[in-house]
Amino acid sequence: MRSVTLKNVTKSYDSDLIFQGLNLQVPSGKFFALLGPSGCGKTTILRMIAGFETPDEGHIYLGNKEITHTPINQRSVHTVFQNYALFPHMNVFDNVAYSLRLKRVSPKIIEQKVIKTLKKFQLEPYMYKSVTQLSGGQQQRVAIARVVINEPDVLLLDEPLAALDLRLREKVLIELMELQDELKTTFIYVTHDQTEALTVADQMAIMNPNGQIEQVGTPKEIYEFPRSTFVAKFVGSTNIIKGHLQIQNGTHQLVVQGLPLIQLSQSSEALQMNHGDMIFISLRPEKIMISKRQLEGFSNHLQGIVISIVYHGRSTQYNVQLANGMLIQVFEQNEEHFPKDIIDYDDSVFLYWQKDNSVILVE
Amino acid sequence: MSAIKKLFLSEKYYFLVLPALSWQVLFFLIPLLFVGLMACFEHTSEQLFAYPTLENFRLVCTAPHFAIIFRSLWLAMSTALFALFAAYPIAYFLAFKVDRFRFFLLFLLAIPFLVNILVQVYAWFFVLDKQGMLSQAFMFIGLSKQPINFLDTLFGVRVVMLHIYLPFLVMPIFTALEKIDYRLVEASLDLGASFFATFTRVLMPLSMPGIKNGFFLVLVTSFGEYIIPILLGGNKVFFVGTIISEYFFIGKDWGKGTAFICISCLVLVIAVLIWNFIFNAVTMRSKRFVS
Repeated sequence: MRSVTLKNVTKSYDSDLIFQGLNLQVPSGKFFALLGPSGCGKTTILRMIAGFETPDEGHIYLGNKEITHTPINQRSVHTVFQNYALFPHMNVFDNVAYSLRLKRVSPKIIEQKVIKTLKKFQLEPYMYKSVTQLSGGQQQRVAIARVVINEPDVLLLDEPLAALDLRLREKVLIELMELQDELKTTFIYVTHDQTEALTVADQMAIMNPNGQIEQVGTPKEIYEFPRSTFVAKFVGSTNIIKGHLQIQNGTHQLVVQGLPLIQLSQSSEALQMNHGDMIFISLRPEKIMISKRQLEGFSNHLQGIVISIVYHGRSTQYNVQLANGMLIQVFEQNEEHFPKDIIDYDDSVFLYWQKDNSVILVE
Repeated sequence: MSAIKKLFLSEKYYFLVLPALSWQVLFFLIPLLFVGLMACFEHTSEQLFAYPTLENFRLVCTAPHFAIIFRSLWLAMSTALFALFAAYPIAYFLAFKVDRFRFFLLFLLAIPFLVNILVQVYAWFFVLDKQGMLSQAFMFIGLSKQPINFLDTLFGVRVVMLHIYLPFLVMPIFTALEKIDYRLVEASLDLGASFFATFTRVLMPLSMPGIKNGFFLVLVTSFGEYIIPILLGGNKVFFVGTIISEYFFIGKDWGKGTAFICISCLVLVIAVLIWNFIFNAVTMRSKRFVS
């Protein structure tokens, strides 16, 4: 288990700049997720840590040791490939034994270790089967077993669930978390799926399409306190409201044309801003309470008309149009079979939320 | 539904091989049987099949004949092996390292097929001749003081055979390598393998069908090579091809000729089986890391 550090890394293909001056710190022994849209360069970061690519400029460290130019086969970093890249001419046993045999470990020890590893991944019954005969889930377990047996300092996972169906994905995610918990190896998990990242990660980084890292933090920090519009929109759904900041008697409000004043909390972000600044706030749909009746005790309330309703099963999504034409998304838990207040199309509704539940976006 | 339509829609498409199969039987298998039969008979001027005898085989099974067979086999095997070592890097380069010009380069490789083999061989005269380019290059570098004649030497024959047969090995190996996912190479390196280990453990076993195809194609065809030794070998050393033509066209001794064909074929088949065994053993070892 080691930390991974990228310092000032620049990489371009031909004349295409992938990223410039990138810094990233992956803490040791943590499950780290790298989340970003397709083509943002997250896989390139993984390939540079693995050694398949060399940065044009900058340095990569494994723990305190610089590995920028260390050959691939001398790094204690292993990759689980998206398509698993299992050796099709070998059976399960030979695939898993591959790295140990390269090290010329004695056959007896190899057999013990391989069988132990195969047992752990419930692959023992398939030991002598060709890998091409296995199901997607089994192949994936072989791919993980093949790298884990060599006890790498860092394990890189490149969208490992992309080829699995939804139900299996959830199961494998939990297995991966348990595995990381047990091995304490640093896991770097690359994905474009925010649910996967939020589920597995201890720490995560969000990349934008320009190859810049927008925010690093725990999943909760990222979800609840996004720093930028990009992060707020990319991770989960949100309502972005644009307006001018007004500071009056030490309280902060957002002035939006055609709407009542929106109260803001005095967060550290708010204190950096000046009176009259144009700002964006993010308000998560599930943080808003929707009702046809007037309620007391909320710092903010807006009025609007329901223009569409989407039933999701565990929750219902209401799209509400405000007086100034703005659309607001609201999620309501479907707590009861027969709710007292049924909200329907064209109903006039009130939206309520506490001022602590909105976030001022810095970028 | 008509019978023909039914035939075309049926699950079994065996009938599709009929044209090729009948061609093979009519023009290859039956003549081959005929060759075998002729070797076992005494021929007189009146009768093609006078009486059965093993006399032809007895006359052909002599040390000089076997020397010629094994010289041909040695030439064929060394050509195939040299071509294999030369072809693999080319195929690797084409399959993994070239993107844009791949088909152009493949076309360049196929250009010799567009030129008649006689023209190709005669073109080599300019290279191998005493005043030829190779001789002059040797003198220029200082490897030799006098001009060297590479014509009518075994060296010249080898060089030209390698040139002619190289594409026959590059193509099947390229096809085999192209099907391999390059991420397997990356995975192997990632797991700590050196490039050489990656080659022996991953690339070689996976491209073995292509290696075998090309190797046997070259081994078998160059075993009977006739034109190159005749034109560039100066007809000083005899090979299987030259002996056969000697028996059939000059000596008109069909009995001994066919017997010689039978024996050289047998030797070739045994050689192919041995090489097949070697390739299979190498593949098995590379999978299990036995060394």
